[in-house]
Amino acid sequence: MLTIRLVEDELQRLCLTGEASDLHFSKGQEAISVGVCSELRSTDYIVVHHRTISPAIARGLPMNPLMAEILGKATGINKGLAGEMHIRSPELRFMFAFQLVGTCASVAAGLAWAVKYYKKEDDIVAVFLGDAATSNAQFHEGMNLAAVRKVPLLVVVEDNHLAGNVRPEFYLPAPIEKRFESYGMSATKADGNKVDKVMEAARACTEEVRAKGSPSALILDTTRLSWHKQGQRDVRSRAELDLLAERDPLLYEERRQGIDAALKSKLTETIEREIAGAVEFARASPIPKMAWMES
Amino acid sequence: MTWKHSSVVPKTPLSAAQHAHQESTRSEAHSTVPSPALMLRLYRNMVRIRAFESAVLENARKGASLAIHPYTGEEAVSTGVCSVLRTQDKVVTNHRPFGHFISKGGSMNELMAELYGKGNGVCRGLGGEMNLSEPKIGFLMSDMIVGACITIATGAALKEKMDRTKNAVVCFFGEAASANGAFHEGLMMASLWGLPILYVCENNGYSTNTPAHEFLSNEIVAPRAAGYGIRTTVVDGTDVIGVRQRTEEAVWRIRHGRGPCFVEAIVKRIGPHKQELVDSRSEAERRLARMRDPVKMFKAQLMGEAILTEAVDSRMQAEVKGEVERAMRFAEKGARLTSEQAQRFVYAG
Repeated sequence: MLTIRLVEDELQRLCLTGEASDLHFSKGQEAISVGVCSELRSTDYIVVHHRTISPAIARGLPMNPLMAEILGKATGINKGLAGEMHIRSPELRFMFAFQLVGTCASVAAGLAWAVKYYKKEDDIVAVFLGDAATSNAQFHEGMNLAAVRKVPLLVVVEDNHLAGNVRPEFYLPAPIEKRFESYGMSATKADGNKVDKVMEAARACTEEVRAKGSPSALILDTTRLSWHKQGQRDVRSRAELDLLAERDPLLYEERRQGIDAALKSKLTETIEREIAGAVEFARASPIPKMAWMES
Repeated sequence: MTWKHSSVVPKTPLSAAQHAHQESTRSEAHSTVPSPALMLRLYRNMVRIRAFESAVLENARKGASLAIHPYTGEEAVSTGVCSVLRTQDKVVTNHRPFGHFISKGGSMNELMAELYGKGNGVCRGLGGEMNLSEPKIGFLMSDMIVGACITIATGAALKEKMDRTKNAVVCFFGEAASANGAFHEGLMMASLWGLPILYVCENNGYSTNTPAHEFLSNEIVAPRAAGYGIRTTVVDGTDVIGVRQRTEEAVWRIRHGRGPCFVEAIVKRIGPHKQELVDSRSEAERRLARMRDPVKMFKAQLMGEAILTEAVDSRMQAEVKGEVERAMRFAEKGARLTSEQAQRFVYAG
C-alpha cells in the first residue's frame, strides 16, 4: 500500500512537470487492490477499470517496465503503447484494463466463461469496477450473462461514491447490493479502507466463487482522496476532503500494525530508492518506434 | 419546448420514513371496479385483436407476403393497460405492436393497409408492422430492435416531465428485452429523474424459441426493476381486469408525480414468435398456452356472470368479422407509393 501511494505521489509530481500525462490515481483506495489481490491465486485472472496503477502494483507487475509504460517508453510492459489505461500483462494474468467505464464487466464475464467452460480450469476472474460503472448497460449485460451461465466471476465494486465529480444521487437510484440480488448473485459489503477487513471478505468471496463456480459480488465502501484524474479539479470542499482523509487506509494500517514514524521513514526510503531507479530507467529509455508510425 | 433544468433534478434518495410511508400507502386503492359495459368493451377489444390477427395469419398462410409477430395469447395486456390511458398518453412498443396499436385506438383499416404496404396505411405503407407510428392517437412508435423501445420511451417521458404535462408514457416490451443494456440504462434514468413512465413487461417466457432461463438469471423481471427503486407489480397477464386495475393504480401514481412504475404481466404466447418461424416448444407446452387463452377465459367469466350471452357474443363476433373484412377491402383498394412519392418521406441522406 505504501508502495502504491509513493509511486502515485511520484507520478503526480511527474504529471506536474509534464513528463507523465493526466493519470487516474487511486489514493485512498489502495487497500482494495492490495487486499483482494493478496487473496487471489497467482493463476487467477484480473480485469480492471481505468485506475490501473494500484491493482497493477498489487498484482506484482515489475516496477521498472510499469513506470516506463506509464511514461510511454519503449521498455514498458506493452512497449509504451498502452499507457496508463490499457496496461496488460497476460503472464501475470493481469488481463485487461479499460478506460471505458463499465466495459470491464462484460469482458470479465466472457473471460470467466472461457476459464470455466473452455479452458476448464478452477481459476476465477476478479473484476474491479467503480460504483458508477454499475449504471452502465455493459455492466447489466455482463452480470446477467455471468449469472445465467454460472461463471466464476468475483465482482469487486470500489464504491467511492463518485463518478468523476458527480455524486451518486445523480447516477445511482437505489443501493448497489439490491441490483446484484436481482441477478441472483450474493453481495457482501465491507469497509474497503481497512485492509484486514477487505482480506477477510475477499477470502470468503473467492472461496465461494471457486467452490460454486458462480459469480459473487464484493462491495467495498471507500474514499477517493485524489482528484478523479490529474488535471480535473475536485469539486469537494477542503473540509470534506479533510474528513475523508481520516479514513485513509494507510493510517488505519499503520495504527493496526503499530508502525512508528522511524519504521515508516525507513520503509519509505527503501521504496523511494526503488521508484527513483524506475524513473531513471524510464527516462533513459527511448520512445517507442514502430514501422507504422513512420508512415 | 423549453429546457427547464430544475424539472429534471434528481430526487434525493428516500429516507427510511418515506419508504415506510410508501409501503403503508401501497394498498391505497386507486383502481375502480369496471362496470359490465366496460367489461364488454374490454372483451370486444380483445376479440377485435384476435380477429384481426387471425385474418392476417390466414392470408399469410395463403401466400401473401406479410411479416408479422402474432400477439395471440397476450391480448389481455394491451387491452387492460390501454383502457386506462387517455388519447394524449403516449405508447412506445416493441416488434409485436398489433395489440397495442388497436387497443390505443388505432384504425384497423389503416393498420391492415400498412401491413400490405399500401399508401393508405398508417405510415403510407413505408413502415410496416415494426415501424408503426401514429402520433395523433399517442402511439409514438413500435421498434423492432429488442430493448431499444425502453430508452426511447424514457426519452418521451422526459419530454412530458419537462413540459409539465399530466400525461403518462407507457412502454411495452418482452422479458428478453430486460437482458439488454438499454433496459438497465432506461430504468435507471427514469428512476433517478422520477419520470412519468409505466414499463409494461409482457413476460411470455420465450425469446423467439429460447426459454427465459437460458438468458435471464431470474425468470421474473420485476426484482430487477425494484433494484432501481421502481415500484413494481406482477400480474397474471391473461386476466384483463387484473391488468387494468394494476395499471390504474400505477397510472394514478405516475400522474401524481410519484415517478415510474413497472408492471410485469405473465403471459403465454399461443402462436409462434413469427408467422413463418417454427415453434420449438413441445406440443404439451403449446397446449398449456392454449389453455390460458385470455379471450376464451374472459368470455367464460362474463358468461358465468351473465354479463355476456351467446347471442350477444355471436353478434359481436359477426360485427368484428365485418370490421376486419372492411379493413381487408380497404387495404386492397389502396395503391403502393411510387418511388418518387416515397422519396418525399426520406428525411436524411
